[in-house]
This record gives sequence, structure tokens and C-alpha cells, in this order.
Amino acid sequence: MYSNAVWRKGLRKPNQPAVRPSGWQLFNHNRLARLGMWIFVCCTVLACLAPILPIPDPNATALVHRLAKPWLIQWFFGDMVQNPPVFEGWLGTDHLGRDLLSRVLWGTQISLLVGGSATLVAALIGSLLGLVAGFWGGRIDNLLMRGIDMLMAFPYILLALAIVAVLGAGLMNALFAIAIVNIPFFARNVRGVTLGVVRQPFVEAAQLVGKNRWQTLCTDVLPNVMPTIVITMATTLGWMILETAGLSFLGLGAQPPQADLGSMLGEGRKLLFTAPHVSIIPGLIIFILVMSINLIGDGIRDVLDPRLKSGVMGRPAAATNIRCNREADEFARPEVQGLIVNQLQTEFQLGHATYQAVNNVSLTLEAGECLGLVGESGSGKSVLALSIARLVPSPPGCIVHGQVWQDTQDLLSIPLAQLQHIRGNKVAYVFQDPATALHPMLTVGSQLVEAIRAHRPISYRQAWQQAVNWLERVQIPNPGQRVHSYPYQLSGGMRQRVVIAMALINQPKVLIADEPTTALDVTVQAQILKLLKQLQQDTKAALLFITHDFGVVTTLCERIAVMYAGQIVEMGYTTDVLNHPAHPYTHQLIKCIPKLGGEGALATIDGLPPAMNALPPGCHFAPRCPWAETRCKESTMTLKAISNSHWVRCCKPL
Amino acid sequence: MSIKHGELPLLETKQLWRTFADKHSIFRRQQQGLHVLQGIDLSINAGEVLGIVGESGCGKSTLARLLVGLDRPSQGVVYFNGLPILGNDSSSTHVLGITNKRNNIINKRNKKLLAKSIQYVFQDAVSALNPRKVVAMSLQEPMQYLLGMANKHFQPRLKQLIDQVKLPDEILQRYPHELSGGQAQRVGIARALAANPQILVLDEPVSALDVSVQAQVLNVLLELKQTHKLTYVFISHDLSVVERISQRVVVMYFGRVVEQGSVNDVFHQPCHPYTRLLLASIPKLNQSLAIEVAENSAELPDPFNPPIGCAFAPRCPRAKATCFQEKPALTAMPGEGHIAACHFPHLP
Repeated sequence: MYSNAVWRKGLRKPNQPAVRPSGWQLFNHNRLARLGMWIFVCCTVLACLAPILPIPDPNATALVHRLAKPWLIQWFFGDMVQNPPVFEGWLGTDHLGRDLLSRVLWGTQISLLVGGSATLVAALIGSLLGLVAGFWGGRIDNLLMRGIDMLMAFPYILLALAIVAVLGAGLMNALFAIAIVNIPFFARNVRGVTLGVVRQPFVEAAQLVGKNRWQTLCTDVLPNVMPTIVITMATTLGWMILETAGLSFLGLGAQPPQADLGSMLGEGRKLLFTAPHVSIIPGLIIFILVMSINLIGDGIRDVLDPRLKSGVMGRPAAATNIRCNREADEFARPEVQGLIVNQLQTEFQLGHATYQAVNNVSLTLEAGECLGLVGESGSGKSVLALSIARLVPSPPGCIVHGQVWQDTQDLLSIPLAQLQHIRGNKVAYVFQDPATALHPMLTVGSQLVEAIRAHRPISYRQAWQQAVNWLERVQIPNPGQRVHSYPYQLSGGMRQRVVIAMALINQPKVLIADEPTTALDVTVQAQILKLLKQLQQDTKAALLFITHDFGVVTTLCERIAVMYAGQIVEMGYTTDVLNHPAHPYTHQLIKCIPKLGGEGALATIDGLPPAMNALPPGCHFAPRCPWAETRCKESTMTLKAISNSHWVRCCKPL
Repeated sequence: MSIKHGELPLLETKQLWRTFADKHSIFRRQQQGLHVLQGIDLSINAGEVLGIVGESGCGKSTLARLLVGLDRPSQGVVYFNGLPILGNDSSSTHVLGITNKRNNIINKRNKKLLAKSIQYVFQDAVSALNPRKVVAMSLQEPMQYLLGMANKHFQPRLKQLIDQVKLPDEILQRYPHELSGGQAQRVGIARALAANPQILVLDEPVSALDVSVQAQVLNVLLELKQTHKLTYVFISHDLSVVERISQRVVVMYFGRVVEQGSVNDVFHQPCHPYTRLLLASIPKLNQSLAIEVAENSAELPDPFNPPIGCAFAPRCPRAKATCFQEKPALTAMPGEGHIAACHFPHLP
């Protein structure tokens, strides 16, 4: 429920889903929503029971007892001697001596009925218009939406007044007015969601299973739009009640003597100073009713559409939280030009579950060296890369152990300001998708200049010149012109070149490339790999290259580390690991890769990677390993050297 | 798989064009059309796997969508078992890019026939399943809408389908978001098989999967082909996957077929320089990159301003003046059914 990106990228959901919590359970979990629910149920039940409760007729006048104060107020504040409390109904009476409690109950009933009906009418018509417009698109969409736009062009209350003026005053007409005024709201909301749903592949799939347009609309699109309709209804109901009250307050809704919360408020307004209770009580009831409905609406929204939940959209902290016991982690300060990661451990806290995305990873990266980090999705390789400069979103991410040494500094213990000076300067990143890594509204040149000037005090013109030079170094043809282009004007390969230029422009000591060529075509990938290799040799940066493709690693890296379930399971020179894989996982994984000239069925690895919140004891690969013994499932594995440059986390390496 | 001469191909396309043109609008100047497919001729024999390779933007996905009826050709006809099933019947009378609706063969009856014979497997398996339906619901839809099966027959068939793609029965009660990528893709294949089609069009079915999972899905596909005598149109940008699964390969570049032939011919004696570039660009295990061919940094030509001559000429190391002026036609190369569109092909 936290950041979806994290959920998808770094973690794997449990293979066996637990019993699904029902919508009601989720709703009930939300205390405020439950409170709202109870208040609303109480109000509704009382309002419904109004005809059979022992209360006086709401329209019976008794001018003798007019403007009697509520019983409790009389009892507390009245002076017992001169004006002994007289019981004139629990909530007192209005200016005609009618019992307020009775009128409030009947009035609530009417307000709920009118508000509810108006919501239903508006939802039905509005959703239908929105669905049809969004699903069919084209002319129909244009026609319907321009109509809706015309409705929206008038201020809604004026429109409602105009409608009532045409139809005449009365509750029923107020209902229609409110419904009509709210149709655009539903139509626009539903159309927006429908447009998104219609573009999903499953709608095309529905076409291929032989459904016609209406069947697709009803069985595929509608169920996916329904949550929005329900949420909109739940959040609008309160608003509709307010609008009903508003029209009645103006004397256009309920007509006397009929009781309605709005008209009661209107009648009490004249006596606000002499008998405040006459207007305050219906006002309070409206407030309570609308508040409870809004709480319920928020609760329903959280259940049906968790992404909209307040708080989740909030930005993560500027750096990942660290929760280490510093004294216990004393580690000799090494003198390294490159990067040393020591016993790094990163976790995600989601609800009650702890996902160990990176588990005790240590690696060394010399200056000018290229280390390939290989693993399948969910193995924790991206989280490891992000942990190095504390870029894991926090919450839910948290580094619980380890150090990251870069040039005698532990990146995990220095203050944020210092860390920000290192990010993009000494430690730079290249991510998978160049389209999202670049700002779409700024030219390539200004983004490069920004990267330079964030770390070095040079003039704009000098920085611009450097940007052009760097575009030339990453082999972008015509750099003098390209520097003025926006990212969308460049092809994917060109964009990735720009991102690489941006990463290298400050001469970083460490470059971390997270699947930089995965989104590119093979021919472009070949160009980018060649470029990276050449630039890395020129700049002597240490390169941590993350990928899932063994072929790519071979072309680029001298050493390779294989990750599985958050741990490095094998590390060594690329030729050693590829030709003589010692860990069963590496061995199996290499056999899975289809090679040109291969024959017959491909080798596979049985089963799925373990859930990161329920890692199997002992070797994490043991449940899928054909060579596993009982001891593999019992003892914890450590990374052991099988030669002076080849390390394996296995008790019986191949 | 050897096919007897004279036998009718199961699926055939003739001069298939797809042009994305701006609709006429009062407010907008009509722009030049975008020719995504430019005269594609293919024939797929029963029981064969035809691999289609090419880079992004070469039109291979558009072609796949045309074959299953998700999109309509601007010009050209698709024949299934010799019958025109999609496209414009009298294509010769048409001006390029303008579809005459009356001549469009596709109608409701044809659409169902098409869906029963040709099914499609999506690249993004998870979003191709309705998120509000459990797997069983998604799988029974083709039986219900295409085959008109009665509800009582669903259960055994569902079990059979899910067994065929090697998934456990409890998957049937899961929602798409509870599936892993590989499981979802196998559900997608099961759904495609539910209506007993003869042809599966697979659009990058394993590109989004990890290698170990990719191998599982490919094995399922290979096995299903044997047991069900299926015909595949397998679209991928990954040449090693295509080589493993197909008998014949079509290489596409910029909306055209540039080379076509048996896997053996195309992969071992590639004649078109683009095919050679593709093959050389694949990063191989235990082998440093053949960097010489990747030298040229030019990319796909501007689709709004298409080149007059060969579209690959700007990137081609062998390009001569002719290449920039004349479009090469597909001509026979050594090897059975091996054709390539190049003025100066690599010949053995």
C-alpha cells in the first residue's frame, strides 16, 4: 500500500496469498470511518423510526409554549426559583411552539431522502454519460462532453436556482435541480476513469474473446469504474444534503409546514439572538450528518482505491532512514579510491511484515573497475544500488546495518548536506528509463548545466560549453544544436546518452548504472555499452553495472556478482563465474538463457523466488535446488572463497 | 516442418498496408500519413512457427494486431485458409490510406470466426487480465462468448486448460495482481487456447519475464504446439528466443520485410546488412561485442519524412548511391524461400 513502485520493483509478493481481507474488514479497520458509520446509522435509524417514536406531531403548533429552551439547558442554566424548568420536549420548541426534537427527526428523514435520491439520480445519469463518452470516444464523446461543459459553465447554485425557478418551488423540484447540477461532476469523473480503463489491454482482450461493445462495457469496463462511482457517491451524498438544505433555507425546497433541516435553519435564522437553539440544533444535525457521511466516504475510498489514501502520496525523506547500532559496527577505515559496501542490510516495513530486500551484502569496487551485479527481478539488486547513496524511499525503506565507504567516508553516517554534495558528484547514477530520468520541460543543455553548477561554482556560459563538450563525448551528432532540444525530441538511445553525460559530467569516482540498456533496442544497446566502456576507461570511474542479462555483463565487466533473494550468492571474475559457475543458482540460471544455435527444450528453475518477508531458513535457494540436502535447509550460509578470487554462498559448491 | 508444395497456406497476407493518418478536422490541417506497414506479404503454413523480429517502431506489433482483428489494414487482405477474412476486398481500387468502409470484409460474423481461429497473447500479461475477475472468470469468457458452451461444461475444461499451461488448480481462484509475471503469462496463453484456435499470435510474450521464467513459458509454448498442432506467429525483439522457437523468420525494418527465410538461412547466412547488424549486436556469453558493426550511431529514419531509397541505407556500411535513390525489392537469395530486400546483399 505504500509506494507502488517500490512494491513492484524491490519486493515480490508472497507466493501464497493469505486469506484476502474482505472490503468490510478493511473498512472496519479504519476507526474514523467506523465512527462515521455508527453516527450515520444512528441518525438514519432514528429518522426512519420517527413515525413510530413517541414524539409529538412535528406540525402541531402550540403558541403558548413557543420558544421553550431545551430541557437540559433549562435544567443547567435556568434559575430554579423564578423560572422553574418546564419540560417542553427534549430540544424545546420553535417560534410556533412545535416540538423541535420531532421536527429534527422528520427533517433529517426528508433531508436524507432528498439527498440520497438526488445522489442516485445524478450518479445514474452522470455515470452513464461518462461511461458512454469515455468508451465510445470520438464524436459521441465530443457531443456529450460539450453538453456537460455548458452545464458547468454556470455557477451551480445559480443553475439550481434557475431550475427551481422554472419548475417551481417544492422538495421534488429541488431534488431534480440538485441532481441535474451534479450530473457533470459524475460524468467528468467517470469519463476520466473510463478513458484510463479503456486503454488497458484487458479491454482489447475482451474484444478477442468474442464480446460485443455493450458486453465489454458492462462486464469489463463497468466493474473497474464502479469503485470511482461508489466513491464519488459516498463523497457527494453529504454535499447533496447540504445543497438541499441550502435550497430549503432559501425557501425553495421544503414548503411550510413541512420540516426539513434547511427550512428549519431558515426559520430559526430570524431568532438567532433571542432563541439560538431554534437554528443551532438543525445546524448541528446537518453538521453531524455531513461529517459522518464524509468520514464514511473517505473510508470507502481507502478500501476501494488505496492509491488515493491520504499520506501515501507524500514524498519520501531526502535520504533513507538509518537504524544501525553505530558502536557495534566498528569497522576499520579503508583507504579506497572506489567503493566498499560492508554488510549492508536494507529492509522495507510494510504493515506488520518486514521485507529483507538486501541482506548482508558486502562488495568492493576498485577505481577503474567494472563490477556486474546480476539477478532476476526482486533479487534486491536495485535496492542495493539505491542504498549506496541512501536513495531508497523512506518510509517504508530503512537501512538497518552496514557501511558504504567511498573515499574514507561512510556514506551512511555522514550528514545529509554532505551526502547531497556526494550524490551526482562523486557517486552518480544512470537509471533504466531515460525518459523519466530527464525533466520533460527543460532542455537537455539546461539540465546538464544544472548538474554541473550544483557541484561546481562556474559560470553559466562555461557550464554550457562543458555540456556541449560532453554531448560530443557521448557521441551525439550535432551537439551544438542538440543541446537546445527537449528530451521528447530525442530518441531513446540519444536520451540515454544524455543521461550518461549527466552522470559523468562531474567526473564521479563511482558510477552506478541500473539496467541502463534494458529499455533499448539491441543495436542501440550495443552502441551504449561500447560508449559506457570507453568512457569508463577514460574517466577511471568505478562502475557498478546492474543487469539481468549475462550477455551484457560479459561484454562490459571484469568481475560479476550474482544476487538471489537479497544476498550475493556468487562473486568472481566474469570468465570464472560464467564458465565454471559454482553456485547451483548461477549454474541453473545460465542454462536458462536461450543461446543462438541451441536446440530442444530450455532448462528451467522449478518454483519461484521466495517472498522477501518469509525467506526460507538456511540457504534461500535450497527449496528450488536439485542438489539440496538437509543441511542446506538448516545452517545459515556464508560467502566462502573457493579460490582467491571466486566466492560462493553454498555448502557444497559445484 | 516440411510443407508440401501446392498446399494452401493457413494464413496469408497480401500487400498489407497500415497508415495512421490524421482524421479530417475543421480545426486541423491534415498531416501526412504515417505508413507503419508498407506492403507486407506473409504466408504461414499450418503447424509452423513464424518468427517476426525487428526493433521497436518497425511495425511488428501493428502487424500482430492486424492479424487478430484488433486493428484494420488500410489496404491489403488477410486470407485464412484461402478465404479473405480481413481487410479490403478490392484493394486495387483504393487510394492509399483511405479505407472504404463498404469494402471492409470484417463484420460481426467474421469477427467471431476470426477470434475462434486466431488468438492473441499480450506482452503485458498482468494488465491483459481484468483486475476485478479471478482467473477462472477470465478463462471461461472465450468458452461462453465464442463457443457458446453451457455453464456446466466450464469446470472440467478450466482444469484441463490450467493443466496444459502447468499451473496448479488453485490459481483459478486468484486475482491477476496475485499472480507472478510468468503465471499471468501462462494464464494468458490458457485463455488464448480456451476457444481451440488454430493460430496463436504471440506479441513479445516473454520479453517482460526473467530468464528462468521465460524458459518455463517457452517450454510450455513448445509443448502446446506439439500436442495441439498449433501454428504460431511469434513476435519478439530477442533473436535467440526466436531462433529457438521458430522454423521461419521474418526480419522487419521500418514497416517492411527486409529478409525472410528459414531460421537456418537467416541466422547462419544472413544476406541483409540489417539482419547482420542485429545478429552482431546481441551480447553473447563469453564473447566480447562485435563492435565494428555497431559503430554507426544513426537510428531509425524519421517516419514523417521517410527516405526515398532503402530505409536502412543511412546506417548501412555497404550503402551506395543507388541505395539512397531506389527502394530494393525482395529478391530470392540462396536457400529455400530465402528472400531479402537489398541492392547489395551479402552472398556466400
